[in-house]
Amino acid sequence: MERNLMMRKKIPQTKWFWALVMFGIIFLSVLLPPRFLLSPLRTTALTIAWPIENIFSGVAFSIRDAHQFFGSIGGLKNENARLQKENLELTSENAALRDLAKENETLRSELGLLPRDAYDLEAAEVVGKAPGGEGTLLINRGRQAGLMKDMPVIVNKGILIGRVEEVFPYNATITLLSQPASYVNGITSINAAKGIVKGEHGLGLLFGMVLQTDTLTAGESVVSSGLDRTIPKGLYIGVLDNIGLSPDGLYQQASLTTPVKFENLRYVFIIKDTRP
Amino acid sequence: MKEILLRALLVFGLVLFELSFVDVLFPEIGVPVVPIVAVVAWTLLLGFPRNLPLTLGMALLFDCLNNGVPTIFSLYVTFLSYTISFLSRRLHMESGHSATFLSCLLVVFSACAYQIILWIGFTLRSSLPGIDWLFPAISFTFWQLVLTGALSLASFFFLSPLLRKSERFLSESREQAFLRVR
Repeated sequence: MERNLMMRKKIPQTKWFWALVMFGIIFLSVLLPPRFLLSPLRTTALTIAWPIENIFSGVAFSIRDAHQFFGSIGGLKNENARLQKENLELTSENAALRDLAKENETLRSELGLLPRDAYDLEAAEVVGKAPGGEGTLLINRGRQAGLMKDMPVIVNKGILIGRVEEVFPYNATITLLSQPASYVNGITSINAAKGIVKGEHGLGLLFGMVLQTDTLTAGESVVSSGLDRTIPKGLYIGVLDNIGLSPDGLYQQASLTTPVKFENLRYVFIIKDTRP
Repeated sequence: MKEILLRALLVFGLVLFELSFVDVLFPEIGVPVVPIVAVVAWTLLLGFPRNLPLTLGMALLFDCLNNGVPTIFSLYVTFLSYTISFLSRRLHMESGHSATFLSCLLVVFSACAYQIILWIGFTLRSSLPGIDWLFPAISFTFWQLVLTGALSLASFFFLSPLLRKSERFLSESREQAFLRVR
């Protein structure tokens, strides 16, 4: 008994000591993350949190939408005039495109190709975001809705924004295209220059690995090339901007401007399969 | 048991509030403001040793839900909890207007310091071989820093009374249970 007391006295049980011990344990778990322990914990926590997340995110989106609405009242008049002008231009453009679409449909049926927009979509709502807003999204659909890893995620019927990363029973995480870990095969719409679209540290998109013999033009659209079998061909990614050479000087590269503001996303669509 | 359950619910609620409410409403802010403010408020109320399980629980739950693995955030809040406890004793932050003012300063500094640390780590990533993955990509502007400070202050005024009430409720429950036993 006395010996135990002596031993305890020898160990310095101060605040500093405990802080150091905890700091050391956490540092080790950061360096060697115990995924086998945390993975079931995460799945359970996300399943329990599902209804609460829906409520919190619903309220947050409503507040944000109301704020954006009141904030935009001043600019509505100018915006309306601009949209009316744009509407006239688009109406005439639409008439020309309708004719082309008919021709395209006839040619595709003759070649035995699937219609381009025949996707089996699953709609989902964003219920959580990583701080910073441009890395990972948490959505309210998961394994129960038939989602699987690597399924492409789009908005507005065809703008690619990322892939499904992790799937839980009622939730899934999406890795956005702007993440460094994200790679998608892309092709430019006019000159058919092939390259790889990758994230620039979560802050933007880069169209790289383009051969120097290919032509890149600023303002040209980039779509998915379909080389990667998980992502269908023809999904819009963005517009080329700031064209230059890669740091090693071997390839061409350009930054991509995407029409989607990743931080404002509320509804997304997951392509589960192209219809047979 | 009641105490553990209430604390666990509070921690879970605060983490979900950060991930599904604050991050959705303010996507431009790069730091988890609510957990940081909660750690500061809890440390000022309970002191470092009693607050340590809460800090660790909250940090690990946040990291687990957000990234799937512990990150530099868990390290930061452990260090932060100790530092706040150390400073609160040295600066005699028990009560009064000066204590409130100093608490506010500590809260703003804690949230902004994390953003600065992440940004410095991110910019030095190339010269930190082996641990570069510890620092995620983060954009950094003066406006973001101001917003982080303002939001952390607002969260503190909302969280501090809530946590104080919950602690008072728990201490009263403990006293009642003790008297019942006697």
